[in-house]
Amino acid sequence: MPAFLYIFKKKISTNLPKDPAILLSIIVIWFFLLLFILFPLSKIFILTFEKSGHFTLANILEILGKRNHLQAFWNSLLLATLVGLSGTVLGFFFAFTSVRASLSKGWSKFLDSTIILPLISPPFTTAIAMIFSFGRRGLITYNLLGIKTFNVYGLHSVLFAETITFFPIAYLTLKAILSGIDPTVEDMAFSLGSSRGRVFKTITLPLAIPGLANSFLLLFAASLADFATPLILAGSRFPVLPTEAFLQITGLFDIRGGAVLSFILLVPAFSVFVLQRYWVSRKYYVTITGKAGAQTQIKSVTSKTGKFFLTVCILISTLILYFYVLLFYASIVKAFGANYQITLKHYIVVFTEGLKAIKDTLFIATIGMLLGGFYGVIVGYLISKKTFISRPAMEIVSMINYSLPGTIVGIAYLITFNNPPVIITGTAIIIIACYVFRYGATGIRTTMAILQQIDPSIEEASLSLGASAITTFKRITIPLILPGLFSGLGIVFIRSMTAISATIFLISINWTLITVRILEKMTELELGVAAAFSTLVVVIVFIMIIFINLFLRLFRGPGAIDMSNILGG
Amino acid sequence: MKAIGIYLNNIHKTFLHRVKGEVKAVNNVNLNIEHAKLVTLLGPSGCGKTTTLRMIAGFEQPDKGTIFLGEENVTNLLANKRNIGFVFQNYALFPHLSIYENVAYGLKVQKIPPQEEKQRVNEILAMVGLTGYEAQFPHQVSGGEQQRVALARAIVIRPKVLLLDEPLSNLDAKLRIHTRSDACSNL
Amino acid sequence: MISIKKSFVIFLMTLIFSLVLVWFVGEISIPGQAAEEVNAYSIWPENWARPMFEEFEKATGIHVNFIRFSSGEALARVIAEKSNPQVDVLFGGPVETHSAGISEGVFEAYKPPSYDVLESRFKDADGFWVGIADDPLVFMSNAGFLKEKNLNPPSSWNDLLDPAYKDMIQMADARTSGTAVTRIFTILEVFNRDEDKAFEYMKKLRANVQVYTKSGGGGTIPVGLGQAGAGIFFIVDALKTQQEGYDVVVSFPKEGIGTSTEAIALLKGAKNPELGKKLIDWASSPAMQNLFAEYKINFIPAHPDVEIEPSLAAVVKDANIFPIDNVWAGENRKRIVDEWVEKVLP
Repeated sequence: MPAFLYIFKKKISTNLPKDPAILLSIIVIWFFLLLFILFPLSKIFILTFEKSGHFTLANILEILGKRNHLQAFWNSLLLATLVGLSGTVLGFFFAFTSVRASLSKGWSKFLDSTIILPLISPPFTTAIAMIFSFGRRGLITYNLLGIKTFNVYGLHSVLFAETITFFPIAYLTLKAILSGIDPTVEDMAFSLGSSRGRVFKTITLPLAIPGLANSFLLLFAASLADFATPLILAGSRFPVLPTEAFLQITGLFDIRGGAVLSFILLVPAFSVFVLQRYWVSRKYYVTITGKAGAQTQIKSVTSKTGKFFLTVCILISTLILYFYVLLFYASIVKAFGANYQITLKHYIVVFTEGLKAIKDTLFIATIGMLLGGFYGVIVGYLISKKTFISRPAMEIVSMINYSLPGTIVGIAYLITFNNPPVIITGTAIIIIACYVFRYGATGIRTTMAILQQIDPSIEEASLSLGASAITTFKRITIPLILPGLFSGLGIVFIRSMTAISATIFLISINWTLITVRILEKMTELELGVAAAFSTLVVVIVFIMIIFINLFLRLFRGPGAIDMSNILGG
Repeated sequence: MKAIGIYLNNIHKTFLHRVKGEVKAVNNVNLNIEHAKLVTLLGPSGCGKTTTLRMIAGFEQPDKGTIFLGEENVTNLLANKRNIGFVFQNYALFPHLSIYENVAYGLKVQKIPPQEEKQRVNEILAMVGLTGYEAQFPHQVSGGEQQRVALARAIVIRPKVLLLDEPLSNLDAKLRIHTRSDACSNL
Repeated sequence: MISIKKSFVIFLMTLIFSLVLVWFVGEISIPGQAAEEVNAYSIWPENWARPMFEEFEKATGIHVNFIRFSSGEALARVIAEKSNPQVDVLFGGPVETHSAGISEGVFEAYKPPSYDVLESRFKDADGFWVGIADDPLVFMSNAGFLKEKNLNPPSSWNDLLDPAYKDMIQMADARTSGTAVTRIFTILEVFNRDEDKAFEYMKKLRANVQVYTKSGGGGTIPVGLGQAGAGIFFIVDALKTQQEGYDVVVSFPKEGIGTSTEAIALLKGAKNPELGKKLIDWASSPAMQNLFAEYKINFIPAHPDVEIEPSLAAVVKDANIFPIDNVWAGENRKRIVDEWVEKVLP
C-alpha cells in the first residue's frame, strides 16, 4: 500500500511544473474551466437523467416519445450529412480552382473576399435573402421567373442556405491542404507519364482525403448546431433539434425538455469531436506550412478546364454577393416587396432605438475578444509547451464548449447561473463568459498550431541566458505567437458579433445584442430594420478584419510565423 | 572569469522511443571535469552526447544521479539559474530580434546598464567577425554567420560554463580553427 | 520597421480608444437616466409598447426599461427567473399567458384603483392580473387572392378548409405565440370543448397551412403581399396591416370567434414593486387607453369609461365575438399545446 502511494506521489511531483508561475496559471485556468464549462454541462446531465432524486431514462424517453422531436432528431442528422457532403464538394471545387487553376491575382483576391462574407455575417442573412428571392413574391421566383407555387420553406431551402453559409469553412480547410501538398510530388507523377486526370485521382485526391474528412466533420457539426437558418426557412414540416430545444424552452416554458433535447443534440456533436480528434487529425500526411497559394507551376488543369472552373466559381461568388446586395437594398427601401421608395428610416431606427444594442454588443464583443484572445494564448501555451498532470484533460475540456452547439451552452448557462451559488444572469458577465470559453478555443487551437512550428530550442535558449519562464513568455513566445493572437482576437470578435444560438438565452433587460434585435425585428416583420442591422454588423466585422490584417502585415517581417488564414473553422 | 568544475555522478536517463520502446540514453555516467578549459564529447550519433549536455544545462532532468557545478548541487535547479551558456545545434536565434538584440538578450535579462551592454556586445561581435551586422535579422544572414551570432550570444554573458552542441559543423575549415581558438582565448 | 511590441501597444490603444469612444457616444445619445426606472417584459410589439411607455414617462417621470418577447418566451423567461426576477411587470399579452403564470407562482396580487369598475372578464378574481385591452381574433385575407380564386371573404371556419386555400394560409405557432393559443381555444369553444372534433378540424386545416409563424402577427405581411392568401390574427395586427396600405380584407366566421384580454401583472419579488404598481395603475386606467386611438393602436379598451374608436367599432359591429374562458385556458394551456404539437403540427 505505501509503495503505491509513494509512486503516486512521485508521479505527481515529477509531473508538477517547478515554476510557481506556471503552477498558479494552471490552477486558475482549471478553476475557470470547471466553473464555466463543466459545471453548466453537469446541470444539463442532471436535468436530463434525474427525476425525483434518482437516475432515470424516463425524461429522455418522454421527449423522444413525441413524434415531432424524434423527427427533429433524424432531420438534424440528415441535414447535417447533406450539408457536410455538399459543402465539402463545393469547397473542394473552389479550393482546387483557387490553388491549381493558375488564377490571376485579381480573380484570386475576388474569390477570397467574397467567400469570407458568409462566415462573417450575422445569422439569418442568407435566410432573409432567400425569402426575398425565392418566397412567394420573391424577386427571382415571382418577378423573374413567374413561378407562383414555389414553397421556400423546407429541407431544400435550409440545405441550400446552409451550404452557401458553411462551405467557406471547407474551402479554407481544403485550400490549406491542397497548397500544402508538395508540388514536386505531382510534378513527379506528371513526368512519369500520368495524365492529368490520373494525377488527380491517384495523387492529389488521396493526399487530400484527411482534409476532406475534416471538412465534412466541420460542416456536419456546423449544420447540427445551426439554430438561426432553420428557424426561418425550415417551415413547420421540417423540425430540427436546436430549434426544437429553443421552442421547448421559450414556447412551452419546459426547461427540462429543452435540456433533454440539447442533450440529445450533444451525442452526435460529441461523436464528431471525437472522430476529428482521434481519427482525422492522426492522418494528416502533409505539413501545413508556408503561404497558401504557393506558386506552383504545375499544369494540373488545362487552361480550358481552368477557365471553366473559374466561371463556375465566379457564378457562385456572384450569387453570394447578390445576397448581400439584396440585403443592403432591402435596408434602404421602405418596404421590400411592396414599396421600393428609397429611404433612410430603417437606419434611423437602428441608430436611435438600436443604439443600446449596438453599444452593448460592441462592448461585450471587445471585452470578450481581449479576454478570449489571451485565454486562448495562455491555455494554448500551457497545453503545448508544459507537461503537467491533467494536461490532456485540460485540452479536451477547453474544447468542449466550442464543439457543442450553442443552444446547449446557452441553456446550460441559463439554468446554472440563475440560481445559487453563482448568479450572473442578467449581467454582461454571463454573455462574455459564454463567448470567452466558447470562441476562445479557436485561439487555443491556433496558438497550439503556431507553437508547433516554433522550435522549442528557441525558448530553451532564452532560459539558458538567464530569463525566467515569464520573461521568456513575454519577450520571446508572445511576439512569435502574436499573429496567432491577432487571428484569435479577430475570431472571437467576429463570432461575438454574429452569435445567436447561445446568447438568445442570455440576454436581459440590461444587455441586448444586435443579433437578437435582428431576430426580433424579423419576428415583428420589420424586415427593413432587420436588414439594416445586418448590414451594420457586416460592415463592423469587415472593418475589424481589415484592421487586423493591417497589423498582421505590419510586422509579418522578421521570422513571424505566417498565418494562412484567419478562420480555422 | 574562472571556469569551474562539472561533476556528473551516476547519471541515468531513459527515454520512451516510438519504435524501440524504452531507450536508455545515458547509462550510469560519471564525469569529472576540473581545471579544464575545453572538453569535447566525441561519439557516434545517438550515443547520448546531446542528452548529457542538456542535462548539464538543465533542459532535461536525470532520472537518477546528481550534477554539481563547482560546489553547487544543481540537479534540481532551473535551467535559467545555472549561469550556463548554451549554443544549440540549430542556433535557436530569436527570429524576431535583430542580431544586436539577440546578442544583448542575456545582458538585458541581467539588467546590465545600457552603456556597458553596448560596449560588451560590440566587443563580442568584433570577436566573431560580425561588426556591422547589428541591424540584420537572423533570416537575412548566412548559416555560418548565424552560428557565430549564437556563439556570441552565449559568450557575452560570461557564463561559468559554456556548452556547445555540435557548434562548428557549419563552418568551413578555416573559420572553424579561427573560431575555436578565439573561443578558447576568451574563456 | 515598427517593432512588434510597439505595434501591439498601438493596436491595444486604438482598441481601447474606440471602445471609450463608442461608450461615450452611447452614453450621451441615449436619453439620460430618469430619476426612477421600472423594468418590464412587453408582449406588445415595440412599436406599440414604446409610445405607451414614453407617454407613461411623460406623465409620471418614471422611465420604463423593456424587452419585447412573444408570449411564450416571456412566460418561459419569467418562470426561469423566478428566484431572481429581472423585471417588475409583465406588460400586455393574451391573458392565457398570465393565467398559466399564476400556477407557477410568479405573480403577486395587486388591485389597481380601476379594479372595481372593470368587467369581471377583465380582471383576475384574486387580483393577479388586470386587463388593459380586448383583442378579438379575425380572419384576414388578401383581396387580390380572393379575386383570383373567385372567393368571398371567409365567413365560416369551414371556408378555410376549402382546397383553394391550399398552402396559402399562415398562422401562428402555439409554442411561441399567444395568438395561436387563443385561436386554438377559440376553436375548442366553437366545437363546444369536444377535443376530438376540434383537433380533427385543426388537422384538416393544417393541410392548407403554408407555415406556422413564430409570432402572432408574423403572417400579416405575407398575406398583405399576397405571399399567403389568408390567416387568423388578432384585430390589432390585421388592422395595422390594412392601415399600412396593404390590400387586405377583414372578416368574421359566423360560428363565432374568440377574443382575448390583454393583461398586465406584477411579478413576485420584483425589485421595484412600487414603480411597477404605478405602471399597472396607469395602464389599467383611461390615462393609457385613451391613447389607443391617437396612436392608431387597434385594441378595444378594457376600461368602461373609454370610448371605442369609431372606425374600429364599425369593424366589430355585428361580429360574433365571444370571450375565452381564461381560467379553463390557463389550466389546460400546456396540455392542449402539447397535444397540438403532437397531433396537428407534423
